[in-house]
Formats: sequence, C-alpha cells, structure tokens
Amino acid sequence: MNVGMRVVGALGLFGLLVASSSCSSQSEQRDENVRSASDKLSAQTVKFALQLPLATALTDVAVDAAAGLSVGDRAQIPGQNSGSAPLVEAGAAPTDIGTDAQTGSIMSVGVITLRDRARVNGDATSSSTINGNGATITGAQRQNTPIALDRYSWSVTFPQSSVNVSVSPNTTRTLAAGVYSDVHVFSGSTISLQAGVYFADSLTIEPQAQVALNTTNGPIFIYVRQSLIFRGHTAFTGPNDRLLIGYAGSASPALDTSFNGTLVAPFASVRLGVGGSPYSGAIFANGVALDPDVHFASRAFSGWGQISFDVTPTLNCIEKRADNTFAALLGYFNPNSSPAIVPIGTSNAFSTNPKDRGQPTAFLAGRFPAEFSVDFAQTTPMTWQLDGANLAIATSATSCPGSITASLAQDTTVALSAPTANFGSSSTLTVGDNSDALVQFDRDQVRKTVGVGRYVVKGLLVLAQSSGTQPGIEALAMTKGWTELGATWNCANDTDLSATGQACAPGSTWKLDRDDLTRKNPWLLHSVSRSVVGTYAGGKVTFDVTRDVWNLLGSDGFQHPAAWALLKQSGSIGTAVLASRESGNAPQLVLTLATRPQTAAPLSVLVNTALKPANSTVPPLADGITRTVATLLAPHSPQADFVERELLFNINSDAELPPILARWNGVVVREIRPPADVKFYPTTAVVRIDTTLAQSGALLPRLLKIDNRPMGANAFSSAVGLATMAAAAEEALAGRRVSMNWISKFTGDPSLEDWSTSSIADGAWTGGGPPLSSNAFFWPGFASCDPDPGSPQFPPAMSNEASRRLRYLSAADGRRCLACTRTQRAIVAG
Amino acid sequence: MSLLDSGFAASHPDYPPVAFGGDSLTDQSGPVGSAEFAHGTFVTLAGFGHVGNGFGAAGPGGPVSKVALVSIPVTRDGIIFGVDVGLFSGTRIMSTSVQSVIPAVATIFTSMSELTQETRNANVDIFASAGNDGADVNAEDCFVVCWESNHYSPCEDDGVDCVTGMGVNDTSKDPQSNWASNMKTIAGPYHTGISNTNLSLVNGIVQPATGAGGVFDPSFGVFFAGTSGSSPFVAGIASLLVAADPSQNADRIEHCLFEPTHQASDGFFTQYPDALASVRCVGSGNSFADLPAFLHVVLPGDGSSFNVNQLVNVQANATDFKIGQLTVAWTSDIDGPLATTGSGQVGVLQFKTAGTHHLTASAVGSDGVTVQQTLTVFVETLAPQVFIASPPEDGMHFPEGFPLTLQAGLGAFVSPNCALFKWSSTSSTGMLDFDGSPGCQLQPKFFVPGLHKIVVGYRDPGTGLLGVANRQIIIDAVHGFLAKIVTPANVLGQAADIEQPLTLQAFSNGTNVDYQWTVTANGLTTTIPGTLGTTIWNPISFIAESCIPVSATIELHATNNDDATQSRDVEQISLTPSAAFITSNCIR
Repeated sequence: MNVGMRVVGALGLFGLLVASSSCSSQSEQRDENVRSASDKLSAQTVKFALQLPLATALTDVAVDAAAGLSVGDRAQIPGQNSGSAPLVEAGAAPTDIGTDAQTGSIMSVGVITLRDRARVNGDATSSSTINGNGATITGAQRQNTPIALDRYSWSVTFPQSSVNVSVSPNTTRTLAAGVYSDVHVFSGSTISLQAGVYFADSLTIEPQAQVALNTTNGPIFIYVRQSLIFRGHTAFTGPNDRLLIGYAGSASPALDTSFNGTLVAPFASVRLGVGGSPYSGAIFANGVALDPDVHFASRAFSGWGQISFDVTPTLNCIEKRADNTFAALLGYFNPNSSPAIVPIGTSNAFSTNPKDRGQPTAFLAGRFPAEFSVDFAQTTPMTWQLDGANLAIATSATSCPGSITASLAQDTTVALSAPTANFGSSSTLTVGDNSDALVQFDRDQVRKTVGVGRYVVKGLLVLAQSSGTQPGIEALAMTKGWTELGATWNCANDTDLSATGQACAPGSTWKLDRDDLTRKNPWLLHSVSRSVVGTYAGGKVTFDVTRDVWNLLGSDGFQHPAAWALLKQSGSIGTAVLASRESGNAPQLVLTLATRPQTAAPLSVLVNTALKPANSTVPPLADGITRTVATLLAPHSPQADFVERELLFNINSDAELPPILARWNGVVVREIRPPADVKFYPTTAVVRIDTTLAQSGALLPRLLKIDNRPMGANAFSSAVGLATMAAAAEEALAGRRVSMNWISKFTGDPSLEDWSTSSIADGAWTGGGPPLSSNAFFWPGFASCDPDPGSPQFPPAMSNEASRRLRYLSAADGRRCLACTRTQRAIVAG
Repeated sequence: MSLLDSGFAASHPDYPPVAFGGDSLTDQSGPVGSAEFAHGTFVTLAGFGHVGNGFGAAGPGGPVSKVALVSIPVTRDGIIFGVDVGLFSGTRIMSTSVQSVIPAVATIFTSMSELTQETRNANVDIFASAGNDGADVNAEDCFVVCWESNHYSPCEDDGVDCVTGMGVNDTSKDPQSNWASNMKTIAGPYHTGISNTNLSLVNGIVQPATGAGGVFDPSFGVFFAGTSGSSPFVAGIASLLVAADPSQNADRIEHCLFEPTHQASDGFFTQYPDALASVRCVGSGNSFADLPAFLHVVLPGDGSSFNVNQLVNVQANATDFKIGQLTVAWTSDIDGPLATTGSGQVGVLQFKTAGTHHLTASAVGSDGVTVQQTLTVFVETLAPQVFIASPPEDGMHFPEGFPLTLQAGLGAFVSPNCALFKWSSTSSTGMLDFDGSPGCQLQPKFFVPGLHKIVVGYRDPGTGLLGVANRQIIIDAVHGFLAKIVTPANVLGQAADIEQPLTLQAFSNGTNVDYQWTVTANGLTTTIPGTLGTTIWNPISFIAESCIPVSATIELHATNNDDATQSRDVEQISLTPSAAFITSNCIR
C-alpha cells in the first residue's frame, strides 16, 4: 500500500480504501443499526498535525505533546530496544518529570522541570530553562537553546456514515475496513480488525472486550471523529507495531486499560492512568500526562510511510538587495518518502497575485530550506499557501546572511622530498618547490547550506600564513579525490601509515610533478586568463575560486572532488608555510551569496512532440528490440538525441547492478567489460528500464539539485524521453555513475562544396568551351602544376564564364606539386 | 593506433596495415550523410594514408602505424565499446571523430570522463575532434553565475586531447572549426587530403571508390573538410612519436607533442604540431628545451660546381627548439664569410676564388652551441656564358631600316652588369654596322640587305675572362610600305601584368602613316588609336581580371597616307593576374 508520488493528498488514498472495502462491509449490514438521518454526521475533513524537532523522525519519539507534558512520579518510559525513550514537548507549555521518574532524552520548547531524583537518560534541551534538584541528566544539558520544529500534517476526511456497529457481549465480530458511525464493543466480546483504514464517529471498547488486530497484511488505521473510549485489550496477529488510532475529538480519550499502539490526538489531552499500565506504543497529542508509576514502553509505528503527509512551506530568510528590492528565500519540508506534486492552484499559491511566482510544484522528499526565492516589495507582504499551510512572508523576517564561511574538511601537504610521507595531521601546509598543499571542502554540506535558491556570487579560499616567504601560489581544482591522512606525493591514499612505507590504495596512485603539457596531473588546467593565483594581505593568502566553486557546486561536483592543489608558481621564489585546519586558524572558504532576480526564464522541462530526433531509431542490440530515439532541445544548444529507455551505468562490481535493476524493472542489454589488465576501468552496463517507474514530475527539482545554474526551457520530444532523463537524475543523485545513451554525430563536414572537383569535372558544363578532364592537373590555370608540362593533354584556356563558375578547386597531390597549392585551391571571382 | 568511427570501407588501396574491430559496420559506403556513409574511411586516410605507394594522400601516421579500425554505432554505448575494443587491441594512440554536444542541464548524464581518464591512465593518448560549428566549446551562459552552455564529449572529457582545425594555407583556426577558450587544444588541418582515387556520383552524391570496381586515377585529389580529419592527423603525428621510441609512455608522448608546437596568434589559442621537433624530443629522452639546435643544408648540393663570381643560391633549415628559427652563416675555408640567411630562406653568395671550397653553414643554438654542416664545392674560373636571347635563333629575317631588338644575358644564375656587354655587327660585305655598343639590350636598325653577323662579348671584371656569343640574321630589302611592332615582342614567352599599362611601340618606313592597334582576348576585340613610336594602353580597361592568365593577340594596322598602302603585324602576349588579385580573390 505504498502511496508513491502524491498528487492530491491523503484524500485519494483513503477514498480508494473506502471504495475497496465497500463490498465486504455490505455483508455485515444485517447486524448493524442504522442511525436516523437526523443523527448522521456530515462528511468532514480534519487536519491531523504534529510537530517534531528538526531531524527527529516520527519513529524516534515515544511521547510528543504540544500543550504540556507531565510524567508522574516513578513512571518509566523504556526505549524500544534498550534504555529510555525520548520525549518531545513542542509547544511553549512546560515539561514536568516527576520524582524518581525515568525518561529518555527530552526536547522541550517550554520549561523543563525535573523533580527529585528524576533521571533523563540522554540529553535535556529546552528553549527556556531547565529546573531541577537532585535530578540526573546523563547527556548534555542545554538551556535557552532554540528548537526548530518540523510540521507533520495530513488530512483525513471522515465520510458520512449511518452504519452503526454493535458487538454484543460475549460475541465475536469481524469488521472490514470501511466507514462506520458508532462502533460499540461490549464487555466480553471480540472485534476483529484487518489491515486497512477504519473510520468511525465514535469507538467504544468496553472493559473485558478485546480488539483482535490482524496486521499480517499491513498496518491498521483507525480514525475516530468524536469519542474514543478504549478500556479493552489488544491482541495482535502479526507485527504489533502496526496500529495507529487517529482521534479528532477534543475530549480526552479514555485509555483505562493497556493500550498497545500509536495514538495521534492533536486536539485532545491524553492521560495514561496507572490502572491500565503497562502501555506500549507512542503518543502524539495536544497534552500528555502519564500518571505516577505508569510503565509506557516505546514502540514506534511502522506504517508512517503509508500516510501521505502535507508539504510544509518554510521561510528561510529575507534578502535585501543593493537596489532596495527584497527577495524571500523559501523552502519546504516534505515528510513523505517520495516526491509530492502540488500543482499551482488553491493548494499551492501566493496570496497576492500572481499566484504563480515560480514556486515549485514538485517537492522532493526531505527538508529543503533554501529551494527558491521570490522577489517582492517591502510594502506588500505575501503568503505562500501550500497544502493548507499559510506561510507569511514579510520583510521583517530574518535577514539572509550576505556570506557564509565554511571551514575546510581536509587538508595536507605532499612533498617530493618525502614521497611516501603523509602530513595530514600537521598544523601547517607547505607550498614550495615540489611541495604542494591540498585542501578540500565538504561539498555536500556547502551545497545544502547554500540551497538551490541561492547562488555563490563570489568564493574566496583564505589561508593564514604561519611563516616563510610569499611565493606566487596557484590554486588548481583537482580531478582526483584523496584522503587527509593518506595523501602522499605518490598516491592519493597511502594506507601504510609509516613515513617510509607505501601501500597505495587501488587506483590511488597519481603524478604530482607538474607538466601542463600533459593530462597526467590530477587537476584541471585553465587558460592563463583563468588561472587562480593567491594574493597576500594581512597575513593571509586569498584565492578567488569563484568559478571553481560554481562548477563544483554544480555538475562538476559529481565527477570531481571539491578540492584544490596549491602549487608554487613556476619561477617564483621561496616557500610559504600556511596554517592547516589542525591549527587554531583553519583555512576557510568564504562564500558571498545572493538570490537571482526573477527577470529571466527559470529552468523548466516540458514535452514538445513537434521536436523530432534526426533518426527515430538506432540499430537494435543483440536482443533485437527496437530502440527508439528522443531528442532534447535546450537553450543555446543543438538538439541532443538519445536512446529512450536506456541508461548506462559505470560499475566496478556486479553487486552494484541488482538494486538498479530492481528499481527500474531493468534488463541489462549490453555489458562492456574492459580487458583484465586494464585496472580500475569500470564496466559499462547498458540497462533498459521501465520508464513508467520514473518520477517524471520530480525531474525538475532533481535537475536543480544537481546544478541550479542552467536556465530556460528544456524540451523533450517525448514523455518517454523525459522519463528517461528523470530516471537518470534519480540515479545520479543516488550517487551512481549514470549516463544517458547519447547519439553522436560526425565531426566531418563532407559538404558538396568540398567535393566540387568531382561535381565540376564529371557534370555537364553549360558554359561552353571544351569538356573538362576529370584530372584536376589538367584544368586551365594549373600549368605550373602540371606534373608533365610537356603533355599534350593540357587543355586550351577555360572560358571566362567557366572560370567564374569554378568555386572551389580542391585537388592535387601535394607531394608532387607543392608550389601550386594556392592556385589549385583558388576561388575564381564571380 | 585505434580509430573509432562509424564505418569503414572493407578495403581501400591507400589504407596502411589495418585490422578491423568493433561492431559489424565495416564495408559502409552509402551516400554522404547516410548511416552507411564511410566517414571512417576518410578519417583513416586523413591521418594514416599509406605512403610510398604512388597514389593517395600521405597521412602523417602512414609510414609507421598499424591501425585498428574500430567500427562503432554512434550511440554512447557504441563509443564506449569502441574504446574498450581499442584497449583490447593494446593501442597506444586513440582517435575518434564523432561527438555528442550535451546541453548544460544534462552534463551530469555522461559518464564518459571516467572512462577516458582511466583510458589515459592506461597509457593511451586520446584525441578527439572539436567539431565544426565554429563554436567555443567552453562558451558560457551567465546570469548571476556562469555555466558552460554545452559539454562537448569526448572533446571536453577528462584525459582527452581535443583537436581543432586550421584553415587552408593558414595556421589560424578555420572559421568552421570549434575551439576552446579555456582548455588546452591542438590543431590539425581542417582540410585534409585523403584520396586521389577516382570518385563517382550516385544520385548526385559523391561516392568514395571502395576498391571493388573503382577505377584508379593516380592524379585526382579529394580533400576532406572538418575536424574529423584534424583529429586523426594529429593522432598520426603522435603515432610517429610512439614509433620513434616505443618505450616512452603516454605522458612523454603527449609532452613531446605539445612542447614544440607552433602558436598562431589568431586569438583562438591555435597551436599546431611541429612533427619533426616532437619526434626528436621523444627520441632524445631529454627535456625538449635541452635539445641541440638542428641544421640541414638544402642548397647547394654537396659536390656542386660553380664559376667564380657566379651567383650561387644557398638554403638551410636551422631550428632551435627553444627559440625557433636561427640565422645561418655561410663560410668558405678559402674565401671566408660569404653570406647569412634566415632559416629556410634562399640566399645568394659568390665565390671569389677558384679551387675546392669547403662551404660551411652554421648556426648558434640557444645553448650557445654551434651546429653546422659542411659541403665540398668546386669553383672554377670560366669565361662568362654569354647568350643572345633576341633574336632567339640564327637565320631569322628582319626588314631593312626597322629597329631590331638585340638582347643578351649570362647563364648559370649570374646577374650581369649590362654596361659590360659590348655589341658589334658586320655585314657580309665586311661593312661594320656598329662596334662596341654597350647594354643588355639594343634596338639598332640595319640598312644593308643580306647576312649580318652580330657578336656580343662580356668580360668578367673579376677574372678578366671574356665570354662571347654571336648570331646571324638576314636583312631583307623593303620594297614598298611596311609597319612592324617593336614592343611587345613575341620573344621569350613574354607575359604582362594585366593591371600594368602596356607599352605598344610601332615603326614603319613611311613618313605619313596612321597607326591603329587591335587587341583580341577571350573572344573580344578592342581598337586603340596609335601613333608613331609609343602608345600606352591599360589592359584592365578591357579585360576583366581572372585567376588564370589570358592570352591576348595584339595587331598593328598601319596605313601609308602617301600611297594608301597598308601594312599589318601581329604579336602574342599572355596577360597575367596580379599577385594582389590572386591573394585576395583566388585563394580559399
């Protein structure tokens, strides 16, 4: 029951489930009471919403409250496997942990009060204060620490129903998933539920009643609209982490006996009394109170993935540009495991027109705080309405930082004088004769911080100078990765840690003796005008690596490491000793950021069936299946043709293929393996994929994730072609080395003009005069080129008209007639 | 050596030793632009046309290479397969002339760079054509930030040397060749001679003769346009380097290919190979900059004989791989320093002394070391070789009383001092017509009918030796009215620059004569009023300049007003296009 890509939210799923359950439920009608029409509740959509700290999963917490959390004296909340389970209080209300109570980590927006001998097995974090006397916090204690929250919401529509279910005492009743009004299970009776979604206006489980839950085929969702009384017992057939009760009422539910499941009650306070203890599961409620001595064992619900959550809009910051215009940097949080599509409309619009301001309509799974920017006027606040949430945008919001500084992730020195030694732990970097410094930043982290909606307008690599002189230093973007504690002059990763020993990891040997005439060095060579040379000032040397950063944060970053080699310039004198990250003055990457004014066409993808590839098919492979061709037309590019449904994967192990084939229902249609003696050369597997499995709607955000710089409309000749690239994008972002099967063209240009010797010589001549010989040496005007000047074959002069018609005379074997080449290629005026 | 391309003729008379690999796409010979078009055949010939077989173009790699012709479909998997086949063949040099231009948005979806870099790491130098759009492969789009508009694969892939194309008779970039503003490239010719086998037309499309049924024509030439030919051409040079020292690795081959390149200052970063210097570099095992200078004498040949004071042409190529062309000094062990010339330039010197000379050409390299070559030449003291150019032969008849052009010269490249020619003439009656008249050219009149013996002498001022030539002519008595063209004279195959005014000179024995000139060329005729003596006429006013010489017939029509008699004379002349016109209009 995987939801997959969402188009219209949860309603579609639940509606489907309701429809599928209708047949079986009809057979049960005879045992059910029917309410009068005046008693029926009309259909109603309820938004279930809860909040969790960033990077905290729904499965991570045992208790999540918004309006107060109290844990009674001596109560215990053990973790799912061991230790204690975490608690969250996401509102401003206090968290109170009773005397001798034991919990896991606590994150509370409000005050945390720890009573005597309370024990927190983990960290305690509060946006306010943490009070306590004689309590124990085994982990970190953080007060006044802001806690950012993610919102998890989904819509549940309660259909109208007049079907009441009453299970008489001492009877057993099986209830199919479906829509019901009042469900009452009397004492001593048993109600059996199966995988699926149940709706009820009220649910009453009397004491000594049993709820038999068959979860073998999946989780059971029970959504209760008004009243929830649960005083019976649960008995599972199948996994016991597959029950979720969503309660939309505001009155506190009665949970007087052991309850084993996950309860979501965003409008109600939940109290777990000691009489029903022990409990197990998780509780997400407005308020939560655990009575003294309650034992509540954490057990995470395993069916969260089947809920289609809303996408939540987020405001990152406001950028004020130099021209006094404003841009809001916006993002989103999509808690689902798959991309969500929310078209422009009532569910995805800005409140002041235009509704469409270039916001995304495809939302990848996860949290993306800086996904796009929207220009707006200072005097006109906006609201972004997305999936029922309203995000207010005003200039008073947090200002965007003009720049960010990232410390380097790795640095080291490599030196010819000690070719097997590694200096990764040294506090200095030495740049001199045959001594280079290597520096690397965390590309993924920087990319994440910058986001898709922002751009690096300037990137400076700054290193403090410790000692030495100031030779000219050039920064060259590297093409081969290395490790801080493994890089030596001889190899990128020497696994022999001794200074003199050497054990280069497979494929890690490299050549660092600089030779710009060759491709042997592991760095990119630029034209002289693009070389990056450091400038010294204020005890620092600074490199303007803007263009490298652009490329590395884009597509190049998927192929090359985010690293530079710092080399002394040829002819420069001296040695510079710079501070490494192990010093107190680590190298930094300072990035000036900005959003893009909305004055140009943003990147988009579309299908235009009017486009045609040069050839509609290419010859089949061994399997004989027709291979169709699509084309891509991008701005400032010629049409690029490629084979539909085929992706090429570079693999170094056969074990890399099965997940690929499984994802795409793929078939390897060709495998190109290198010779055994060519080490480290990958095998290329041509995989034919099922493009119906591709998330075409997610192509655009994925392309932007890969490289947010290109702009304009990119048109595909077919939906299958677009889907093929969508699959490639998903694979690339998953870290695979994937290629589309591009079709190449000749780089020869055998135009007729180039062949006019033959055309003229062999074709009919309308200008009169003698017929032309096919031997170009005998053409008029080439007397000096005649290989045999005395030959009687030399023709009489060509007519003037004829000579004007001669456009291009390409002929002659240069070995025999070097001196006349110019004449032989003459264009006759005309 | 491996060539990866879309299809090859199964055989061709100008192939080097080849082996076929790849997919089953050999023996392709469809129309230009079709899937079956044998693009690879032409690519092969451009870089590796066999040499010494008396036909076809010589590819730079032709003398040394065994070539694996790897047929590939033009899909990406096909190219990868081709690279794979090349690796299996143990190739050292790889070249491909097919290309994908991948838009910026899709740049990531090519895994070619990993493969080409690993191929390069496997000791294979890879060359790929840059393409023919006249575009900068590094061109960028910018809005707040910049990005490359397209990725040219494999030209821009890691480990690949991208090859651009030079123009015809030009070291600058061909207008149609792609180039790179931010990447090292190397250039080959954009137009490569590939074949002189006969071509045939099918449906108006040129077909290459693939051997079977093709009629061999040894003198027909075909040029192939595009960087498709440039890449194998440069790869062919690289294969020369491998042949020069097979023990050298790909780094060394690449280094030596790029170090001695020539640089064209055309703003397109065009550099093109110096094959000889590269071969010497790789063969030396030294750094290119440490190589000694190179000198080779082209002229004169060893053992040549010359006259004292004869103007002797000399030529030597002298190159220093660090500083380029050198100045050559020419020294005789007898006469001492004689001349200096630039490398490759033809200069002139004169030996002063008879005897066996050791002529040494020398140049000083950047390292201060002199390189030289010494020849042995024989210098003799001979009388000047005087010849009479006009009249060109004995026994010619000329009319009495008309100016006759006498013209003399010296043989063996000697430039004479005209004042030292002394002319004399004696009639058969023993009467002296003139004696001791100086000049290279005279226009005397003869009034005595009958045989005249003309003698011209030239005494070499250095040796004092006298050279003599003579000519016998017959002067005919003139009865009645006669007019003649004095210039231009139809001797020595005269030609005139079509842009230069032409001097027409007429003469007659009449005293009251009207002259009219008529010129006929390219089937057209014009009439020019004339006078006694000189008339100046501009041919360009009548004949449009063309890239080839035009033959003109010049006629003189004269009327004697005293007795109404008429006379006619005719000469032929070739009107040639000016050098400036050829340069600006006739060269592509």
